[in-house]
This record gives sequence, structure tokens and C-alpha cells, in this order.
Amino acid sequence: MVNEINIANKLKRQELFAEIKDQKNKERHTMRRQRAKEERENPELKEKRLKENVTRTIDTMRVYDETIAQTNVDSDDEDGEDADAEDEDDLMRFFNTNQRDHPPKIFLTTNVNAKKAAYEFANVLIEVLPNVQFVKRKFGIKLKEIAEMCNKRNFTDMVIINEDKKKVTGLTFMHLPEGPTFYFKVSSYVEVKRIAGHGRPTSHIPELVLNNFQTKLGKTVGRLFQSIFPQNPDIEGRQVITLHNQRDYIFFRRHRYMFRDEEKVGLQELGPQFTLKLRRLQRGLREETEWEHRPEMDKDKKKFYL
Amino acid sequence: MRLIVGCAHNGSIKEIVCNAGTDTSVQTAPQPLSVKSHLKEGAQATVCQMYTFDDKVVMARANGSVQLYKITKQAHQKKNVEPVENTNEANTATPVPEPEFDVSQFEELSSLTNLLDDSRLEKVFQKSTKRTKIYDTFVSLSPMAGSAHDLLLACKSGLIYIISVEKDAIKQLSRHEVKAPLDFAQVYDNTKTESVIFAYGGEENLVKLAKLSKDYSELSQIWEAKNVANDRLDMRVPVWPTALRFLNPAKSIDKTDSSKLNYQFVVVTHWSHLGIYNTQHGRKPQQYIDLLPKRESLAHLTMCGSAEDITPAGNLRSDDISNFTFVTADLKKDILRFNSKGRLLNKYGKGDIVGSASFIQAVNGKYLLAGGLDRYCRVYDLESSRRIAKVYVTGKVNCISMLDDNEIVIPQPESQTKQAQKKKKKHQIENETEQDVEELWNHLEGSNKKAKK
Repeated sequence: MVNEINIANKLKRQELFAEIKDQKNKERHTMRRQRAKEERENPELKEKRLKENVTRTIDTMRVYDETIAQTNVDSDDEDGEDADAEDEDDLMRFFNTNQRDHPPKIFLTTNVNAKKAAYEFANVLIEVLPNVQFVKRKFGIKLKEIAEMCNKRNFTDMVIINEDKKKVTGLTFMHLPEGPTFYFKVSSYVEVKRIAGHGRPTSHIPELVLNNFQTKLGKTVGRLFQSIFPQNPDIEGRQVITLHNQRDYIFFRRHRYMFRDEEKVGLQELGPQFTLKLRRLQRGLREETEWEHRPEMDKDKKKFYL
Repeated sequence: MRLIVGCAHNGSIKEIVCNAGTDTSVQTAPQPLSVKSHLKEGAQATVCQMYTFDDKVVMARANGSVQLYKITKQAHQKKNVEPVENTNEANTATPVPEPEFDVSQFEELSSLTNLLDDSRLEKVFQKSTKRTKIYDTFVSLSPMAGSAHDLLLACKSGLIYIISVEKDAIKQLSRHEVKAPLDFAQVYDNTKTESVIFAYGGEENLVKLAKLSKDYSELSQIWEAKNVANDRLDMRVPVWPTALRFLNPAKSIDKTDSSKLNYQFVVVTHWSHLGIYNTQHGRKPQQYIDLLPKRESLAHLTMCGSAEDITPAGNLRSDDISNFTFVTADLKKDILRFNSKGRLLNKYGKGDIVGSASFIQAVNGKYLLAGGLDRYCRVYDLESSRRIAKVYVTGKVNCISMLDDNEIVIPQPESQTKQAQKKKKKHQIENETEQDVEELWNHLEGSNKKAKK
């Protein structure tokens, strides 16, 4: 279309081009309006259209990963139904499952010689994490000693904020007393103040939404967050914490929901927002590496690990 | 090939039957013919050591029990699932023949329990650089030099058991205590000795040689290593041998001093050193080489050599301490092969392995079995470091044992075999024509030369 316009005058050409574009837009809008109308009368059409036009995203084209539990395993010898039960067994060893006996109790600290940014982030995390106690990191106390002190005081998890050059760069989660240890990169942090129309959180225990953790590694990460938040949310608080995994990035969001009427639900963001990316998973308290991110892993755009 | 893998997640062992080229990460690659788990006993009772002989297997579990199982083979039967039958009707024209192979059944014959003692490790943990509490486990299970039915079982807490397998029962013959913690206990079986000699060591526990009396009732320490000299900043070099393998005793007759012991062995340490010891030379190592620049911890050691060169306990039958190669693994992800000069020869599973290896072993001088925290069991070609098989086993791998390396014949449907034959024929024809062409060419060349003359 553009090539067909052979007018030397630039102003005229632009005018004509805008007109054509406007026309096309209008056509599209009327088509959509009409389609919406038809589909409102006949919802089957919409279903059919959505079924036919599935977008091919990088996520849907991901490389095959055998650790994603499949419902019917075709190989005859694989104990298909048992696989899930085994999974649970494996993870339960590390995490509190019977939380009534041991509700999560979190020890929060920073790296040694932390700067202001770390303490500000700690203030934010204190609001987010339940039953948390912040302790200023002191020089000369080894991690092993800290872990021992935490064990004596029945802490179930240790969270360390890693700050570098006055920026919060990472979060380490250690499950006590025997690990595992997760190290996440922290990025895209948006403080509460900067979120337009944000609400004020209440002290209710939030509900937890874990999205899209599929592989064995992903499930382990999901289990970490499950173990950090109590499993008896105060539903009257209507607060939700979402950890949404997409392409190995874990997005942290916090909302309050509200039922406007029977059908409509409103969401109010409470903040903060930040993004985590798993960098390392170690057995014990930072001992043998179980999984570590390497730069070569980013080469294949369709391979995901969580 | 047939592998038994001890899995950490539910205390089971898995029997894997697969062929070369198996890769569970690729859907189009050959898949294992059978992966079946047996003997689940829960995560507290994972199999940490395994020793197979004849048709029996001895397993040491993390809950302190040692069990003897009999392996019986049974023809593999495919489960008949109904939908399969339906599809069979549709394509009756080409029934796919099933490969025929055996699967193993395990039958418990006898067991010993309560062999571990966590309380002995409490003091050790206080001083240890490990941050996570150390629990007692079995660190080695190996046959004695003289008889294959007597086994030496060592625990992290420094308990040494001698057990014997007689007919269908295991018996504890004796129990000894040595200084904790142990990371290995390696039996010397290169030459015939009157009494059993073994070496042990661990974190801040220098390598020691110990001798068991003939009836295994007494244990005496006969030699202890000495730490290397302080480094150039006059700092003490930390001690932590993690694995040891013997070599044959030094041969040169004129130099050997009969009043001294004559043993040679290689050690890798947690601080990534390679120590080469010769007891004739003295208590300090003859060589102490830094293998990795960043002092990454090394945890395993297996010697490379042909099947005849490796003893049942994994020692090397060679007295040349300046010419051998070995494979070791660090706590991150690498499985590395070095020579005796400390030079890196190659790495196994580059870019494929993500977790640290918890088990490596060279088998038959041909294969390298590797398994680790990334829940895969892998088999490599020892020399070329090419991967032969990779199987996902759901749980972390504690130990692997190869029962045989026979390829299982996969019958091809008739149409395919015909095609293959055709291809072969074609190939033969091509070969023939090439030969013909060559002959013709030679003939021509000859004639050319003649013409020149």
C-alpha cells in the first residue's frame, strides 16, 4: 500500500497515508465489534475461534523436559502413579509439611557490611514475610555459627539479603537445619510508593499463588515458597501473594482482591514488585551444588529449567 | 547394559536396562527398555554403598542396616494395556516385535542392623568446616584381599566392620573403632598379603594405614602420613583426604629398604590437591600437586586402566607412580580426568551435567559410571569421554553398579529389515564400483606412464 503512493509532496503523502491507515483501523474495529456481537449471542463461536488460533509462544515451544510429570507415562515399566507420591516424599524431607507443629519462623539478615539499600529492602521484606525477625549482620560470626544459633531458637528458615555496590542484587534462602540453599538474583524492584493506586497491606496471613512451576527443580523452588508462608491464610484479609514463573523468571506481586458484584472482581496492588531468578541450588547450607545457572544456559531460548 | 542405581529420594534401587545411545532428555533418542524400582524403604534408608558378586548384592543403607539380596532373572513381560490392543487391530499389518530381555527380581536373604552411630560425630561436627550436621553413613564397602566373601564396611564415624557372606547369610565377624571422621577406607589388594591392610582418612584426619590380624580380631595402625610443610605464608595446609587408591609397591630392588613398609598410593583432597605417597620415601607425600586453581573440592577418585589393571577394590596394578591417569569429581559439576603430573586431560559431560557428582566409577576399563545430584545416571566412554547413555532416575543418585554391558537386540519389523538389507546391498554395489574405478584408474595411470616412456 505504502509503495503505491507515488506523490512527491511529503505533506500530501503523509495526509493520504494517515487517511488510509484510519480507514483500515475503522474496518478492523467494526469487524471486531461485529465478531464480539456474534460471539456474545453464540459463545461456541468464541470457543472455536480460541481453539483454532492458539498463539505459539516460546513457552509453548519449550524444549522437552522429562522431569515435568506427565499424567500418563507411556513406558510400561515406569511406575507412573507412584512418581508423584515419590516427589512428595523427597521434598517433604526438607520442608515443614506439618506446619501446625512448626509454623515457619524466619531469620532475616543481610550480607556483612551492608549499606542502606539492604536495610530498606529488609524493611520491605519484614512486611511481606510472616513471623520474621531481622537481625543486623555482625562481622566475625560465621554462617555455621549463625545457623547453630537459629537452630537453637527454632527458626525454620534463614533469608539473607545480598547487597552489592549499594544495590540489592540477590536473596539467599536457607532452610534450617539441613538445607537446601537457594540463591536468587533480584531485579526490577519497584518500591510501593511508585505503584500507582497501591493499597496498604494488613497484617493478615496472605494466600499464596504459585504459577507455572513445572519441572522437578521448579517444584523444589515452589516448595520453598510454600514452606515459607503459613498454610492457613486469613481469607478475610483478601490478600494474595503471587509468585509467577515465566521463562525461569519468578515475578513477585502482592494484591488485594475485592468482589465488586457476583461476576466482577477487582484487584488492588499492594506492592512491592520484584523479580527473582534462580542462580544456584545447593545441598545443605551452601555445600554441594545441585543446580547452578551458567551463561551457556541462556543460549537456547526455548530451554527452561523451572 | 544393565545398571542398578541406588536412589536417594525413597530408598529404592532402580534397575535400568538400556542400550548404547539411550538419552531420556531427547524424545526421539532411544529410551531405556526398562526402568523399574525395587526395595523402597523410605528416604531415611537410602542405599549408600553397594557391592555385587555372582548373583548376589550387598547393600548398606543409611539407616544402619546391611542387607543381602539374591538377584534372579526373569523374562521381561510387557503389560497388556487395553488401548494398545485396540490400536493393534488397526495396524495388524505391521506388528511391532518386542525386544526380549530379562529383568531382575530381588529377594532378601539376610540382614544386619544398627551399625551406625551418630553420637560419635557430634564432636567432629563442632570442628568441621561443614555447616550442615553430619550424619553417620557408610563410606565404603569393599571386598577383602584374600576372599571375595569377606567385606570391609567403614562408617563415617570411624566404625569398621568386617562382615562375611556365607551361603545365604551375612555375619558380622568383628567391629573396630578408628579416629573419626572417615571419608574413605580403601583395602589393599594389589599383592597377596598375610593380613588385610587398608588405608583410611578424612577431614583433619591424615591418611593412616592399618592392619587387621588374620582372624580380623585385632586392628593396629602401622603407618601414618605427615602433613606437608607450611605454605609460603607460613600457614598450615589444611588436611582433608577424600579418596585414596593404592598402586603396586615400588619395585626397584636396590633402593627399597626392607625395614620400611613398601606401599604406594594416590590421594585427592577436599582442597583439590593430588598427593602421591610412597611409604619408602617417608611419611610426607612424594608429590603434592594443586589440581584446580580455585581449590574446588574434590570428592571422588577412580583410576583409569584396562580391566586387568584394576583390582576388585579399585586399585591400580602398576608400580609406576609417574605414569597413570585418574578421574575425579568436584562438588560443583565437573568430572575431570587428570594424569599423574596433575595435568587436565579431559572433562566428562561438559555442559550436560548441572549437579555435583555423588558417584563415579570406571568399569571394565571401558566405561565411566556417573550419577549425582542432578538425578541422572550417565555412562561415558572412558577414553573418548563420549556419552553412551543418560537416564533420568527421579531421585538423586547415591551409587551405581553395572551388572553387564550386553546390548539388547531390538528386533526390527520385517519391512524395515528389508529396507536395511536393500541399503546394505546398495552400499555394497557402491563399494564395488569404487573398487572398479580405482582399478580402472590404476590401469589408466599405468598406461599413461607407458605412454610417457
